[in-house]
Amino acid sequence: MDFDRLPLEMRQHVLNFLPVRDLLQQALVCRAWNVLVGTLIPKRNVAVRLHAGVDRALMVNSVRKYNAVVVYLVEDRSTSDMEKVYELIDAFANKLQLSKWYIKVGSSSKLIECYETSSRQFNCVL
Amino acid sequence: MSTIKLETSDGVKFTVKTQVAKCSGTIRTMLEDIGINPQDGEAIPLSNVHSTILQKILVWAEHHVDDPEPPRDDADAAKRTDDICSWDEDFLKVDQRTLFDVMLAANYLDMKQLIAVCCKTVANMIKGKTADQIRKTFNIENDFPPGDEDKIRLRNQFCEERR
Repeated sequence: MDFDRLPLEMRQHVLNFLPVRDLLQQALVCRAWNVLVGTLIPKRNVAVRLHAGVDRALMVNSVRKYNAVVVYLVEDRSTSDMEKVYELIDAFANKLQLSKWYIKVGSSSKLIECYETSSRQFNCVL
Repeated sequence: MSTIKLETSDGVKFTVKTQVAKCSGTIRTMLEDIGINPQDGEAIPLSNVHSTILQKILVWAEHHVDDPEPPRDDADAAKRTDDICSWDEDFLKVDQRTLFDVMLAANYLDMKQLIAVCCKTVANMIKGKTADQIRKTFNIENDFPPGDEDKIRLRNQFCEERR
């Protein structure tokens, strides 16, 4: 357990050299590492990617904070999908330190439209 | 050439070139701001550093004593871990216990360049590994209650790094 002997700022210094996809693996190491990763995610340019099917309880119980939201909608979206996403965001709004929102329309592999906003008025950016 | 004496936690005294000792921000502050006078021949106590580790750190400081001040890193350069010089790489090929002892001592002594190169070395030990491989590398116990790991994995799916 040598790593845990390091003071918090040194552990953060180490993990700050690593890309987010590595951080997400490190969150699974143990409880202390999960908390450590939780302190670093909001400082990175990380968005939480939402769609209408995301389990609400899962996000509400998360300790992680984010500074952007990306909303994915599939091509044949319905207005109720967007409402579900709004409800989801409201439910865990305290986890969000939002400066920007994005809506991407398409699947994760094929982007059809992309909107961004700093409020709930979305502008197309593609 | 002026020298000063340093005394470690286990009572060992080292005579060190002042210039080398000043690689440590902590010692620099003691000499320059607090006005500890090394001419008195009195040793500066380093109560958090063991002699085996100080010896190692002094080898590093001696090698790097003439290094130019590092440029103010831009965000991209600060993220690199592949720019460790080969001398430092060899220097840090030690067992984990020693590596972390060096890091703690470097932190106490406020040696930013040594801290950075150690942190990069540890980052390289972690990079690209699965959670299980990391646990094995650092001998960490998985203390998640059953089910928590799956929840974190599910949440992780929603994280997206943006450029």
